[in-house]
Amino acid sequence: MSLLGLMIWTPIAAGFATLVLRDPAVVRRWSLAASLFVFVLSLVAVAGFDPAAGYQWQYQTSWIPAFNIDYHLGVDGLSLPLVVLTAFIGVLAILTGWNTATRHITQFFAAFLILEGLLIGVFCAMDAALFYVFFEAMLIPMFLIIGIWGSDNRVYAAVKFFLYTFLGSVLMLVAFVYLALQSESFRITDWYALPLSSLEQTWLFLALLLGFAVKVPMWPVHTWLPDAHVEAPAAGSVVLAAVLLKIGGYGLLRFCLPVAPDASLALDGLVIGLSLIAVVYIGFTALAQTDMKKLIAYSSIAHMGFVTLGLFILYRLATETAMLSVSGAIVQMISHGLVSAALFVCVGVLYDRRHSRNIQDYGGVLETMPVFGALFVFFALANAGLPGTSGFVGEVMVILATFQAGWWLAVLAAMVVVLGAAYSLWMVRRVVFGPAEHAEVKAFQDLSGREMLILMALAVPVLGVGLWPVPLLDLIEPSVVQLIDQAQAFKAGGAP
Amino acid sequence: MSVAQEMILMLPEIVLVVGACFILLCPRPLAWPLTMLTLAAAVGAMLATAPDAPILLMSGMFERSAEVDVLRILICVLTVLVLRYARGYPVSSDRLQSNEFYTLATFGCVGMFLISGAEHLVALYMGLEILALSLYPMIAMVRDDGRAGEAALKYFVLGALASGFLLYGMSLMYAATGTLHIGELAERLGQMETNRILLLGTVFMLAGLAFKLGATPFHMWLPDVYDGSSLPAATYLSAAPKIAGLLLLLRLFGDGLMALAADWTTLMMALAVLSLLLGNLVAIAQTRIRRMLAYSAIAHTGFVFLALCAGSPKGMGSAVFYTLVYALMAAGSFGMLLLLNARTTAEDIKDFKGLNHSHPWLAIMVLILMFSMAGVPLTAGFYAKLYVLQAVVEAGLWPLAVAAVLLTVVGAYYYLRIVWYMYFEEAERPAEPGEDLTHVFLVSANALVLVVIFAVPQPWLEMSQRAAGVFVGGQ
Repeated sequence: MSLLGLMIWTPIAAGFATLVLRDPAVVRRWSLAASLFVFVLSLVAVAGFDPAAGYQWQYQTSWIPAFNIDYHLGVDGLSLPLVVLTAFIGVLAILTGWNTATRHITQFFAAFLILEGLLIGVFCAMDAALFYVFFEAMLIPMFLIIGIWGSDNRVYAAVKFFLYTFLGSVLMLVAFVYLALQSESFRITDWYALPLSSLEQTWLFLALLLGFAVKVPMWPVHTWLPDAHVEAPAAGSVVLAAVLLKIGGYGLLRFCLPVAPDASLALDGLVIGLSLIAVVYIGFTALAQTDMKKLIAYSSIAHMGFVTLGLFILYRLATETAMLSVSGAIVQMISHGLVSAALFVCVGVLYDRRHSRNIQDYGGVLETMPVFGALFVFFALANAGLPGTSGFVGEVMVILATFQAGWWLAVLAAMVVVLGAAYSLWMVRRVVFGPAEHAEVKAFQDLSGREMLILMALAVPVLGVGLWPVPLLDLIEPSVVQLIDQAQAFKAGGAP
Repeated sequence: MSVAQEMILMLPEIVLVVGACFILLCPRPLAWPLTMLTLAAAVGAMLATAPDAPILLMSGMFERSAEVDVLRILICVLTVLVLRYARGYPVSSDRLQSNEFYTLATFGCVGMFLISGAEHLVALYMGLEILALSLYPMIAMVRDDGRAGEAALKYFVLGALASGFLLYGMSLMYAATGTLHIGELAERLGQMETNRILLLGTVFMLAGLAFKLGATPFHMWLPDVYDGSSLPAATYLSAAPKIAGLLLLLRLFGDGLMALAADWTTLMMALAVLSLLLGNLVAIAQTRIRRMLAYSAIAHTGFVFLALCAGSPKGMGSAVFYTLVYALMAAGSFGMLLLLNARTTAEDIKDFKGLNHSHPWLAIMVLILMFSMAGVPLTAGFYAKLYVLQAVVEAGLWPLAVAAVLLTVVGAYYYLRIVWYMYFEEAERPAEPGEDLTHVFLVSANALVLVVIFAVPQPWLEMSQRAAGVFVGGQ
């Protein structure tokens, strides 16, 4: 079995094994060991990865000859960082959920491990049918995570999450089937060279866009996210924000831009418009939230809007600048994965102590939890794009690039920083600073060793990418160059 | 071909008929083992006498082919499975485990066998009636239950009406072409201009079949029959006869009336979309599991019709595969229902609440069945839908494909509801499934087969394509 196959199937097998192990103490350690193993494997994959050499760690074998479907895995510079992110978040999710579940504890860890395997599969699949299988199968564990271990309104949130994503993905499936019939193959790279008329591309683009826009999520199909985030247990929110949303961005990169370049060019205004609405309108919505998880959820939508902006602005830019914006969008995805995960862990830490997500139930947390307060402020600032954190790198790249497309676009895009600073800082001001008025807050214990470990583990890459982003940029650069070539290889003579 | 040779090739049917007669007359404790023996012997006879190439028998009335034999074996396996599931049913100690019940079940298989081999409209009709006449008394068997009587009467009256439609359509076809032999019919239709008699015949035949299969707008009997009849009878009805129904459709429309495809596909599209629409929407409003499964069956029938609309060998192959997978899912779902009803009545969807808490293993099996019904990957239901979609998109009918997948999303809701009742809700009263380990094992195997088909679908896909090829090539 290949390295990537091992990374996909180890957690899934380990997940089913937990159902047999049953003893919670054993299951926790076992799950942690399995996820750590996968993380180590992902680092091995990075160590043996040559950014200039295209798809690597490939493994291909015929799976369903009747449909021309292959079991075909591989990673390039676009997917590898996301695979590492998934493996990393996988470990932290297990740690975050260490004591969360009060019932069905073994199933809790099984669901997270299986989810991790499926998520890695999504990023490694080079066959569209395989991609779709992982893409949709992952709904099952996530549905159960929200529904079983979520808070009061969990059933509504879980069903909404499932149906929304399912709706987007079935239309995507029709698009996949169409593409597969045209090219007689489900291999994604075969689709890049497929000649398609403008009309075909437009329909395909819209079907694919809907599928991925739900996942990103883009305004106006974002409404499942605040519900899902708020109701999911902290560990579920971490995975949801850090990895699941990235699948949307990844899908746009992997499918929309290179498969339907003419339609991407023709409809880039639509995506840019929706992205800017997300940045500005959702940014303001975030300001109005009183529930911390909801606030971070809306912040996620705004930041992901920024990612889609960075991707689709490329048609309005010279190649050099397009590089900057697409790389910036990818860095922003990674950064948002780390920062939003950290913020959800922070909220989880507070929730464990006070059982409330309302901002007004806190205040003066710094008095009793100085270490936590410092870290919370740090991540909030990273969310606002403070220089020196990973949030800054992606944002400044995309904003700089956007300037070339029009100053007013850049001004609107920069609202993500302004509004991000406003709602992030306002939240920490009300939660962390000020006098501790609530008796419960006065009795808080500072971070436990486990919580400290999680937050520190997240702080390291946030700072690392912020201070020295070059290794990450080097990793993705050749693939981004290739992507931009493919995205501008117009098939229907629609070049501007 | 000599009579002896023909008799050898008809051996599976003969074994079943003889076995059915013995089952009726044997002492009661022997009825069940004898039924199993008969079905096993039929399978054995089929394997032993399988012809190398499709071969016509009895003056061209029947056709034997190894490809369709595979489906007949599956019919036997499903019948064994559902009869075994039904043995745990409490009421069944009385009439539902009587010799008559097993005799009827075996005769039902005879009907299905004849349908699968018929090359002649009369033979086809005969097979259909043998199947139907076995089902009516099976449903009516619980005499003191008013609802079962109502269901049986409804089924009988509407079934007879549908048979009338079908027969009338066949007679019109005969009037127009002068033959009842399906191969000749296809040939002559290919050389004829379409005329009104042919169209009228086609419409009557399609309406008759739509009645029998329960496609909207001819579906009204189906929820009442599913819900009103005894659980064992409903279980029997839900699985193997679906395969026979599909073979009937393929034989008539895929083979005999293929030349008129341009005319009947429009009708079939309407039936398909209406079934998908009504089945999926109305299923949401159901509170009883069996009614929900009935509307889900209507929706699945819509999907099969959709596959046939493609009018291509691939479409027919996908219809076969879809039906096989559906029959397995239906058998598993009803098997699970029988298990849950082994000691108490648990017919309400609410009775699934909290199942994960008390019986996590069974909950996972139900989860697999439900996600397979919804067509979510890691289950065979996904390929069933993918295959149909491929055939439909290939035929250029992508608006239909889009409509079908959108309605699938609607359908996902009521399957999800069962999952969320099991996993997210507390039990209102404790579930008391049967403790028969063989039953649990069979239901689990039934559900897990769906995952196995997902992992290794190629043999099943090839099998479906080959079986469909017999009908296309039979002209």
